[in-house]
Amino acid sequence: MQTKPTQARVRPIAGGAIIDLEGDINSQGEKTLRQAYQKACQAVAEADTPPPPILLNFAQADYINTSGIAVLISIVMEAQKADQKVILFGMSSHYQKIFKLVRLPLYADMYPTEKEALAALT
Amino acid sequence: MVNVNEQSQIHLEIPSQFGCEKMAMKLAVAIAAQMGFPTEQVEDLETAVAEACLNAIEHGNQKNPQARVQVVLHVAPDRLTIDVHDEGLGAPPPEQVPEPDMARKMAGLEETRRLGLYLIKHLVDESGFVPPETQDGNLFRMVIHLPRQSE
Repeated sequence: MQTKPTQARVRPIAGGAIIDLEGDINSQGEKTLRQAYQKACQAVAEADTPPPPILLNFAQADYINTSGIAVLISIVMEAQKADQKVILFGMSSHYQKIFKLVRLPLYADMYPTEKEALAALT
Repeated sequence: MVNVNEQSQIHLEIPSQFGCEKMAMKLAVAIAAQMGFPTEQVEDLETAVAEACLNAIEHGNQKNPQARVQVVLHVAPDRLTIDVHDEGLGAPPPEQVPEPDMARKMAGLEETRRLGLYLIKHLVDESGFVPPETQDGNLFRMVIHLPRQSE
């Protein structure tokens, strides 16, 4: 049984960018996640201060382990340094619980659905 | 098919390779569901088994593909016990499970990893390293109890 490689597609939206994630979110996906984050940052690169938010969509993510959470933490750290907001949405209630246990929502807003995440932007 | 009304054991051996923890997850989920555990408890167990196996692969067996991880599920009428046994090729396991300090992690003062044991502690009823009975290495045990009928 193999891991399902992390896939990440950047989708620019008004006032930010969404990274649609698929497959397993683990340490093997670090490069993919980081590249997607950089691409999303470029997609929203404007003279805005603070920079527009980046939204991570977990609706199609099959499996998230703590090595993947560590990668997410490092991305949130990087965003914080740039005074950029990171929003997480689309994860199952189980992974919402996991994210809350590691206290990720203290540093990244979390919403069940894309609709709710987008509503929070306005 | 496992008779969940009797004591029984299921053994699984996986190579020390990332991704192989999924075999143990699938097995644990299938057995727990058959025993009648609620969905939330089954999902929690799935993540706990994944993290225990990842610890065994990464720390216990140092990702040595020749080293094996033994997973044993002990089925009892009121509980499911899962033992994850590695070959003890790494440093001894921690005696205590540290609470992650997210503020320190965000400040770069604490590594972003090492969340597995903490998560497991909050996802199953009992967990911890126990002395191996017959083999060398590390033995990590997790137990979940079936809710009583009145609960």
